[in-house]
Amino acid sequence: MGKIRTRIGAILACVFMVVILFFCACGEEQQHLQLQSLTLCIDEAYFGDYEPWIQLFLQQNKEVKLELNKIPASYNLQTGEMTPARAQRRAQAIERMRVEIMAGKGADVYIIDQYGAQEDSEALFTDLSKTMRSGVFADLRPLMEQSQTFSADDFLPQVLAAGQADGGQYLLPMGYSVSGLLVTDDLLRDTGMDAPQVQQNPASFFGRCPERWAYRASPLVLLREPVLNYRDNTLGLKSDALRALLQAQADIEIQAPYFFDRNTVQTNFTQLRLVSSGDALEAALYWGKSGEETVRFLPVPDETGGVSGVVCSVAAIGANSKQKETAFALLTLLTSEQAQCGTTQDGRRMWPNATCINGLPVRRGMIPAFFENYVEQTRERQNFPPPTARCVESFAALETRLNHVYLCQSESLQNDFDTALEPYFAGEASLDAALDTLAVRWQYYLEE
Amino acid sequence: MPHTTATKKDNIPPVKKTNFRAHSQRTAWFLVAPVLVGVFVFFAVPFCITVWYSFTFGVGGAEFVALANYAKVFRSSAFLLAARNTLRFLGIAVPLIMLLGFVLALLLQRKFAGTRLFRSVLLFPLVVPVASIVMVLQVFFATRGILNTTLAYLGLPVTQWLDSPAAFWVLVGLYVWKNCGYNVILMLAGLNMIPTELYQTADIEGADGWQKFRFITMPLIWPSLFFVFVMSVINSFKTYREAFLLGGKHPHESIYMLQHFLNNNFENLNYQRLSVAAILLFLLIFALVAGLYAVQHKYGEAAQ
Repeated sequence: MGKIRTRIGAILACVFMVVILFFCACGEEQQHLQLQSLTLCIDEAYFGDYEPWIQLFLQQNKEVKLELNKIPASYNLQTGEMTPARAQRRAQAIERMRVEIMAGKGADVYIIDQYGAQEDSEALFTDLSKTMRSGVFADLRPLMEQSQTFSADDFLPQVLAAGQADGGQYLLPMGYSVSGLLVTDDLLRDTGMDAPQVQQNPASFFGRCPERWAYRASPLVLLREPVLNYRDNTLGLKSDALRALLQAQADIEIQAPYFFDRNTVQTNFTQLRLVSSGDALEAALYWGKSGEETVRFLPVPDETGGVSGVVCSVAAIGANSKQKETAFALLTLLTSEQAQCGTTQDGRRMWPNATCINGLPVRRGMIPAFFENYVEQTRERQNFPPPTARCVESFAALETRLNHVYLCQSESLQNDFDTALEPYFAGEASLDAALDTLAVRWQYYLEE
Repeated sequence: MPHTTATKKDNIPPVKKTNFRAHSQRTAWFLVAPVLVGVFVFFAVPFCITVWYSFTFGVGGAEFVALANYAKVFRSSAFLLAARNTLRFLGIAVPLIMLLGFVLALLLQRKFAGTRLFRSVLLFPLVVPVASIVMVLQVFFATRGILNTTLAYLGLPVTQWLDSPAAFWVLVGLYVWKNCGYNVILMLAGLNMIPTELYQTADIEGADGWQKFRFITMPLIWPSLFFVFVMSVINSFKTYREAFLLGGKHPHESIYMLQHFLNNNFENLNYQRLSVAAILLFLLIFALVAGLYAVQHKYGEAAQ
């Protein structure tokens, strides 16, 4: 009798659990049927930049319910103060998200701004080139082909290629930037950089301005042939182009901070400084304000005379997303002409919320319109004179010279590079020894 | 009479042995249930999921790819480097710490002035946080650290201690220094449990020191040694924390361990490789411990 009771009890308990699980699953399914719930993962620090477009998307798609999964900023958004507690909160949130992704419960859409992670704070995706090969993101190609509103032909193929791996399109770039100098005709003449061959070769380019210039540019994203080739797991550390570039940079005297210094750029027109195209855009206005009429952007050439850029923000769809079409609709909006230029939308001014934050638009031929809108909005705020057509042309010409666009390299790789090359730049080690050290470390990094 | 006895036996009510046993079993299962549930939920289920992930590509076990992930991992020079380093560390550091610990335990077993103090001192490394120890080591072994400055002062060649093959020996030293005291205490406890009468008898029978060590100490200390050995093996797999603090996520190749491989793949969200490496690591530890148990079983029986 006792045994029978026990068995009946066990069977009832099992039935009870099955019923509960069934209702839980049904409830979840019903919720999905009623509202298309879309989870968006985004860095808290950059959410404000994308918010107007997300709101617009929700207005246009009333059936979509958005759930935000923000990665906490490691610093106070108002004061910029960074505290260990904030950094810890961010690290914990990232850890949790990684586990959720691992369990197939990640977000539907990821907006990844590589500038979202400051130097000493953690990023959700430490190396996007690796992550997009690990099956975390959905292949966007079928969605791109099905879509009525999205056309890959409108985009710069070199930029789209940065988000491709193993025959799939896993990331959709939203902006890219190019390193270069903001120059005037006088500066070019004085430094001898007006010679055509100087503008076609990175070593000559760097060799012309050893004393005038601020920081060493990272060869990891300057050369056409990648130093780290993720596709074949090979290294380009022995290339002549890299050696020439490093030898040219060895003589550069570092005079200024690593990052763009707005105040210096505003006032100092006698020194050449390396800036990214996004910063150059702003600097061009400051220079225009000073009455300089020959200001233009001179990109750092790669070894073939073209230009290499860096993707600064991307969007992706989670591989496990059940709302891929809806998610792709959001990506389509974020890379639309209006979003890329930050144009006026429904009577609302969207600038400075262009989605190519800190960079240039990824759509073909958009730079003049982007520049115009930027100038228009900036002039409204600060009464700057418009930059000359020549200046705008110099930015627009980047598209024709663009050879290769890289995904932003991780901080740890850059640190590895700086650490390994430090003895060489300090004159304490040979270039071969420094590169050999790096080669061993990066070979196992690539194959991890 | 036999008939009478049989009648008496028949009259005694039978003891419900089976009920008592069943009751005991129920109680045992009831008591052990929380642990079993914990092991099932927090170990068995995740382990099974990890095994499943190791045969799939994509997150959440999206696509079955059979042994492709295993093939990739075995082709990865990073994994092979990590496995080689881990085994090398195991092969060098564990015997070293066992030998050193045993010698120290034998020395400390003899009573001399300051024995108690010395025993306490041996436990200090366990109390000190690893991060602070590593910070001291970094100051000591940095390019322009205390050691290199001293070497340069003496006119001797300096080296990048933490960014050269020497990093391996720094890590071995750190591991031995941190765990040796714990091993000594355990071995000392084992030595003290050996009855002194055995040694007295051996003295009467004219045994010399080596014979006493060979035929009394070693067989009786073996279970303690075995336990210490297993603990040392397990602790050696935990040196990732020290290696990470010394050299970061990608340290010098001589101290790139399996845990680096696991952790870095977790950061890059490459769960397939992570799962494969975790299973291989589990199998390695399992094989090691099983082998040790087999040896202990055999040696223990032979000693008895």
